[in-house]
Amino acid sequence: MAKIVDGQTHQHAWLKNEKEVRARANQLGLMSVEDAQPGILSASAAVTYRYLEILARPPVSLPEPYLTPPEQGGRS
Amino acid sequence: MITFDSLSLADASDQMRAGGLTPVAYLAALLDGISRQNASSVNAFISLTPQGIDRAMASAEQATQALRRGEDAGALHGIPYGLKDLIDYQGVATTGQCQFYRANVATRDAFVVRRLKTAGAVFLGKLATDELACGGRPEDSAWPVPSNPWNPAYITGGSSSGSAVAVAAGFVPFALGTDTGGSIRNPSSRCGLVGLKPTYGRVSRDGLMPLSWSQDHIGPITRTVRDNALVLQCIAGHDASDKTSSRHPVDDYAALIGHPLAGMTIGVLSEPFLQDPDADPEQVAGIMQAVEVLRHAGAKIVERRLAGIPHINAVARLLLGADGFAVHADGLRTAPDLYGKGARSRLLQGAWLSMADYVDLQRRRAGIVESIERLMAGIDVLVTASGYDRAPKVGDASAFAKSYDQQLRMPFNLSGHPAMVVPTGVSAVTGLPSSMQIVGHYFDEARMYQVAAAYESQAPWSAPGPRLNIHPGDIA
Repeated sequence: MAKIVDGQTHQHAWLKNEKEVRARANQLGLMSVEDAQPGILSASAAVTYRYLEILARPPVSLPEPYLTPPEQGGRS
Repeated sequence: MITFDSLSLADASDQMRAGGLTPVAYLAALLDGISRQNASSVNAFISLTPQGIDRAMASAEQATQALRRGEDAGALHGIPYGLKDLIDYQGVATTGQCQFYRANVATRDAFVVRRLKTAGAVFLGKLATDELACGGRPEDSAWPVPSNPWNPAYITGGSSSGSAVAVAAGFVPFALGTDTGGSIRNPSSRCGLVGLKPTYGRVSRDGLMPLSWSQDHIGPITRTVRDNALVLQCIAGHDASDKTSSRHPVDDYAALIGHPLAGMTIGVLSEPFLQDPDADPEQVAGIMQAVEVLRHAGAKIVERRLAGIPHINAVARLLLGADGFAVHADGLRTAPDLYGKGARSRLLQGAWLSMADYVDLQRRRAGIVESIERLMAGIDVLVTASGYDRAPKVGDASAFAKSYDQQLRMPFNLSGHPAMVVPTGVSAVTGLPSSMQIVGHYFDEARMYQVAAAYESQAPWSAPGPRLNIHPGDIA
């Protein structure tokens, strides 16, 4: 089951079925991808949300994130 | 008798200067070896055409004549090489092994190619890559997949698979690869090679087909540490056409090779693989034995820990997905059939992120960079694993999937620290090499080469090199 993000509230909500995946893909202009390879959108979404799940998993023992990165050598 | 397919770049270069070898003779010997070893059986080259061979021979002839006139362009003068097929060489298609780009003939050379041309190096051909450098299972590729010369039953690792196979097989003494999530270090590890992902910004990406603007790196793959330093010396430096290119001074990368390690402090990040009951014992033993070699060589060894590695890898993968989708979204929308199943699936992962997710990932990234800077504080280099999985067999999907969780490469794509792999032995089970990863401070590649070379010179193992399954036959 894939999960999808509401960009307004940043609340994660599970996509309940293939139909919802297709609706989101339609918004993104990606239905031709699904036509070419049925099921591939759901498969890719599932991977993305597996990683987002990891990030949501406590404890997150990393430093508090910064809005502005510290100076990193070589980056401009 | 000289065995050209195992001759190091440095030794070939020395022989050319001593008059015992010419660029033409060297190229001819390599081509003979490629033909005898049936290069098409390992699928390293994707464009070793008669025209390409003629072009290479013409370059070698020019290099030979220049040397006779006393015009010496340096260590790479007359040295053949291959390019991962994401890097532009004028007049040759840059396809990324993706049908969508099959007619994408480069109209100009990449920055690194311009540097190599100036240095007199001889371009032999484009090398295979996982489609668009996306990684993924070999079975999902729409193209012939490179075979590991050490044992074709096992994967080569990607995505710079052709680059690693060509160097391991002795077809060329060096190749350039790219590394967005470990794509130089992974195949170099599995093919018994020295592979470097330089500091972000050290090598210009001008002329590189991007996958992730913020994590792509170009770097050398070689059979020895010194060779690697010589290639980096050629391709490093500022390039105004790449806005992320650094103006940091370019060191003499081979200057510290051979210097003792006394006074140096080496951090060891071993907790992830020592605490993983599924870690490959041969990989683990190889790293810990290498640490002892470095201790014996005079380095002080200290433990280091890095928290939240699964989170770090998740951030790296998600940002890679976002960048990759941004690069390829138009193509995916208009011509999805021209993307292979594996690449399509991976690039689409970025489609599902919101803007809020992306901002959150960038904020997390800054914290991760700080974590890694703390990890590096007080040490000269860090030694850890590249991967600590046992190499998956071709077709073993579950082992392949698991290998992504048993790696420590992606944190340094995210942070931009330089990271390299060095072989540490050969598995009695798989016949494949094992490796360790050495991580340096920003722009401190010379120190990494010093440590890597110290290990290389005292490594308590030796291997004759891979043995290709030789079938007499023609090459394309």
